Amino acid sequence: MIGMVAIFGYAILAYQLMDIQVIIRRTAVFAGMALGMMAMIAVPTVVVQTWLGLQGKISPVFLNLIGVLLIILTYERMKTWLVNATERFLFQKTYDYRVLLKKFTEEVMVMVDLKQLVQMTVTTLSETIKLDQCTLLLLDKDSRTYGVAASRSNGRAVTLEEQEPFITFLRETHEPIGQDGALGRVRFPEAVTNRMKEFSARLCLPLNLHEDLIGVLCLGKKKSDEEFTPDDLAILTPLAKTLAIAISNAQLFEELAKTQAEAAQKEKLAVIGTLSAGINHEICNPLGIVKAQCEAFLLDQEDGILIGKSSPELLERMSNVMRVALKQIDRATAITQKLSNFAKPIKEPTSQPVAVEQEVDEVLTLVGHDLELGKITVKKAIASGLSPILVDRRQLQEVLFNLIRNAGQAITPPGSITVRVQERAGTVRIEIEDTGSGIPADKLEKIYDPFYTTKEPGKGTGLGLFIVRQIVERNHGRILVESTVGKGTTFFLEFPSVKGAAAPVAGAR
Amino acid sequence: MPTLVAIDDEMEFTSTINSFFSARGYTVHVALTGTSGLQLVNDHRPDVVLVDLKLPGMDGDELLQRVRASHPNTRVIVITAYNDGGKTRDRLLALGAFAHFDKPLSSLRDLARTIDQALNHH
Repeated sequence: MIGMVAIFGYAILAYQLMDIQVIIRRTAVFAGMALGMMAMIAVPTVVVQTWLGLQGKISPVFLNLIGVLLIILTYERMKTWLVNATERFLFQKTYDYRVLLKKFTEEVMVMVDLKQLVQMTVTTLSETIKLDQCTLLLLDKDSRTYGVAASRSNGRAVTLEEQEPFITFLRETHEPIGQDGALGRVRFPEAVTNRMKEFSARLCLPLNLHEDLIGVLCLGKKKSDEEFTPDDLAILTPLAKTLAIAISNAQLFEELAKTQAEAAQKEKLAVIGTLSAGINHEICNPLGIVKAQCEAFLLDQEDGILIGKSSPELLERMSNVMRVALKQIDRATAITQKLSNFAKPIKEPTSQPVAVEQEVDEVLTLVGHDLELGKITVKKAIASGLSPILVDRRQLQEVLFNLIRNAGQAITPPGSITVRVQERAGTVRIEIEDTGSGIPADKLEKIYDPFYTTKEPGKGTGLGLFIVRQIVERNHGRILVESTVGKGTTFFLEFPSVKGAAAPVAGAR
Repeated sequence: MPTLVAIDDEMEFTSTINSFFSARGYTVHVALTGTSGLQLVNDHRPDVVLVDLKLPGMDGDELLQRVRASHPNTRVIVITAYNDGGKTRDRLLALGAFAHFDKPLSSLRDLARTIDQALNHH
């Protein structure tokens, strides 16, 4: 009894017998096999006794042996035929290829996220065709090896070299390899079939793009035990072709995103370069004060200037040096924090209520010195009682910084930049106006294109406004521009204001 | 008694200069902006002017040129906090500055020595 439970338990786990269709199919095949075998035993007796009239002349044992021989000879063929017959007649294709194709073209192939695409491919195929295994190998362009990108019920990490026979065979033939039906009769090189067995695959489809093999789709045994038929191949082969294109698209998308992120980071480093004047000033000034105060005290002592001072007087002088030093150290620290915030890579925004005025001030501390050194006046006109806006504080600073810096670069000194902030009908509007050269109408529509730049070589990568717009939109704002050649350019940033939200605490991060 | 005018919008820096040089026998006048600094120069005709480059109102550049034009005997020492590898220094010296110092100062002693040189330059 316990043995029976154990056997059923194992069977349920191993063959997923809980699937009622599988149970019925297996029962039908079993019954068919039993009937077939009885027939095989009966056939020789009937033939010999009834048709040939040789009753009693040939030993029944000999007839039974002939029956067993017939069973052995036809067993495999009979089983395959029965499996396919039950499939066709009892279930009339439980997986509908139209459903599979629809799901593929509508949901899977349009995915641009590579990881999601390969995972969905494997899941959809496994579930629709009811496979016990499904593995997708993809070419890694850098190492020129093929690794498991996604797998169902086969979690082993396998990496195949480019020269591996399994890979070269698929690359050269562009044809599927398999162990079922017509493919089963083809004699593939042993190294190839061994690899197939390793992936528990019954059918492997090459994913070709032009002449390159970008991946291999390995399909395992169907849970129904049914073989892969020519009908299957007629659907799966074009599906593999489409999949190759979808994967290649997703890979290109991934590369583009990476290049964009790298370029954005490069742009930030360039930005930090132009910040150096302001940063030097903001750090060297506090350091200059601390150093001068400490040195003055020591030199006064050395030069005998402190002789005759009373203890309270000396204590007061020393305390004063300490107080000044602490204040200036904090000032320098704040600048380094601002700088490291600027240097961090762009992430998804973390929104919080932000007071625009405070952010404008912070950005002007960083960029203002540089502008003033270049004889550019910065004017501020910020309305009082502004509502906060819901944005990522650091990203807003980055946007303001880029727009103000661009404005500065557009000006041939002397000139001025005006930053205005107003609130109207639930929208906070930030204007950054410069008295620069202006942008001609035909170029105005290109300014947000990546790598579009009018600056001299080396001055800009052309990513500034492209990134600025991306950040603004990701923070649910919009950016507009007006420009008159010879008079200047104004950028408008609009963000929905947060009604009733408390303005953030000064310095909150 | 040698007279100094120190102009820097960093009040704590000018006050240190003030007390340090006052204690060593100089008459020191301090200003926080370029405009009021120029006023002090015109009023007191100092021997040496110490000036920061970045100032509200009139900046150190302009002040240097005005002082050079109207008080050719007054030596101007410019102190900057930019440390841009000598670019600013060369420009200021070409405009007639007597000397240039980066902030933080290498030492107050160095500054005092340069001021003495400026005084003996007459």
